[in-house]
Amino acid sequence: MTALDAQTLASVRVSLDEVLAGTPGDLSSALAELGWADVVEADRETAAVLLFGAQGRALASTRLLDDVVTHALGSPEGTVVAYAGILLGRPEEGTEQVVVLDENAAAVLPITEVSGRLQPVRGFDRATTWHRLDTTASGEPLDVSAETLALAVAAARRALTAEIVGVCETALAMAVSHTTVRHQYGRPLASFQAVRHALAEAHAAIENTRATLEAAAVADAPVATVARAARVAKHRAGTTQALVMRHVVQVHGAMGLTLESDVHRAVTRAAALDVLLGSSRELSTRLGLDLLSGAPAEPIAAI
Amino acid sequence: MTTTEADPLAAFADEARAFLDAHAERRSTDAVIWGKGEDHTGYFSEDPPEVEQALVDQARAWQRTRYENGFGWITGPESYGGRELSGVHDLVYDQIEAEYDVPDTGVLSLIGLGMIGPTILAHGRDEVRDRYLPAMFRGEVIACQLFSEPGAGSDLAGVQTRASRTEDGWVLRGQKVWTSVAQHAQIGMALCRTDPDAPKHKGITAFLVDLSLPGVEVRPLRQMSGGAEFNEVFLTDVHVPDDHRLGEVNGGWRVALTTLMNERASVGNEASTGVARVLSDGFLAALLHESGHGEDAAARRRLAEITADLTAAEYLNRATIRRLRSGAQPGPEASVSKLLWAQNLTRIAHLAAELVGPRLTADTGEWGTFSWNELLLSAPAFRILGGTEEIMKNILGERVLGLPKEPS
Repeated sequence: MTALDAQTLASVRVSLDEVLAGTPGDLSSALAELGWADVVEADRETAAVLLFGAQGRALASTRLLDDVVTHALGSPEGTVVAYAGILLGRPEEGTEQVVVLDENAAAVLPITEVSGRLQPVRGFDRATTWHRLDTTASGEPLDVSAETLALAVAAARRALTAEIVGVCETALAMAVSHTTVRHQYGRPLASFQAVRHALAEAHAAIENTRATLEAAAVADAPVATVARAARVAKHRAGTTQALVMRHVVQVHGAMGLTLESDVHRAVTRAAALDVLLGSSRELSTRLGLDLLSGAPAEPIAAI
Repeated sequence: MTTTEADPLAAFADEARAFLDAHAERRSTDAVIWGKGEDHTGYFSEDPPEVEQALVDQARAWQRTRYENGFGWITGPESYGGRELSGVHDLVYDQIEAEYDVPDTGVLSLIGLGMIGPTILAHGRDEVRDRYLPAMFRGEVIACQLFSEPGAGSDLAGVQTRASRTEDGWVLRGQKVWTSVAQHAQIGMALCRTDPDAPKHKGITAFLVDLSLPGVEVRPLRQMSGGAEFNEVFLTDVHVPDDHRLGEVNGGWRVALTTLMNERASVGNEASTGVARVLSDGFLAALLHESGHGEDAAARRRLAEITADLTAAEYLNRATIRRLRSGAQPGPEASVSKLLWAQNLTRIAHLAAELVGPRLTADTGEWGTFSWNELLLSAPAFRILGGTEEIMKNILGERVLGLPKEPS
């Protein structure tokens, strides 16, 4: 599956968790110190799954997704991405252009046309640095083939799936620890079947989505297949986060609804990530149309 | 599936293909066409007894052909006609055989060859192993599992069927239930209480029971889905020789664990032809079109969700097989697979029921309408058989998430 052996993968995972759990002040130099470029070189797809998994577990908000998209599109340095109008942060000094990315189209705007049209997103997830580009900004169509565009969207969806899986892992870990420590009626909450069954269901959903992501990361398949697999994965990630968060919040009791508990961070992050590049609802509409027009439903990965 | 020269399995796969090419036709890869052929959707057989008997005969004959050509017991010892190859070889063979149109041997393999064969091998005396193992793997002897009782299902350690000492053996007395394939079986593996004073699982002994013995009575247990897949088995003063005991006296729990370990791995990967049809490419999409819901956005989304979940479950199974291939031990992912399998089929049944509407409850002769009642009525069983959902979730909670134990 990957050029990296199990031991390397495990140690990279630990290092990434450390890097992303720290203040992401200077993420790129921390990653450089880790020798991240070599990992990416060895296996770009596995590297992305690892990196975004760690970002999800750390509940960190970064612009790493832009790198996935600009690499896939072959955009020059100094490009940032707007996902249907959402930028993951205010463009830094030296940014030259914004690519506005959608499922079926991409356009490019010089940064000079963007600066005055950005508003911070004041929404569900208070911890993001997301900005919204006003809808009158259109720009010139980006000169890439439909295949390149589809592969870029698919790569971004896989990264988002990995991140949502990471957020879910963290949320489930919070729930396991809370229900193990907290006692009621003289025993840990997690010793009650209603609680353990909810958490077991959450675990099953996460593992299933992880397997879907693994399978969607097959590089040497036709573009349409890669795109469909990424759609399935992102769709699964959306439905999984909804189920996981519902159970995790419930087993935390009312404290889970407050800002005193950290659960809200996972809930809002996962919900926000679900929206990027197609919510599970939007993707299921698209998948349904494809199926009814005769697209094959069968899995793509060989054993 | 691809194989390379470096792959030690490649030669085995080639040999399997050569055998199958010589003895079977390749399965047609055409998609199921709506309105053509059978429209059964059920999991459990509803065939009349004579049809079922013919299918069992075909299964026996095919198993014999496998055995005679070295594919009857791929992992078994050579002394009993096996090949002494790995579980991975087994998986590879199954995968290749799935490309061919061969009789379904589930009646022999799911319980007998898959679970009880390995148990006899691990815990039986030489006399019993010599007598039954080759006969089982040649397709002559079908084995069933006499475990569950009216008072002991998932909580198996509560069995009450008694086995008492006689001069030359044991006498068995009690009732078993949920016994699949007992109506076709020649032997059964029974768990009996031999020490009523010992704590639950400590006073149990396992026996192999010849079902033709006086005092054995098999009665079918008819289900709401129409068929009678399961049986009740009454044991009234059945005399069993001591050499038919498996394992130690009062050591039956260990023996049973060998059997059960082999059970969970298999559920979730098995589909009846009815269920396979439901899951085949395009069948559900055709249902949407044919029931006039092709333009119904909500129905379309549900179809997409179910299909995505089926795809995901398939990916999970494949990931498990990949892990087994690289030498990992079977783990709790079998429980995850089983949960998802039940969940997905249940959702399909409910979607179909909504789309078909009233035609689900009355047989109007219209293809692909009333037949969905089979899946709908089978679906609740998926959440129970092979370990209830509640037990699976307990296993995941304790062994994977590390949650504290329940108070006993």
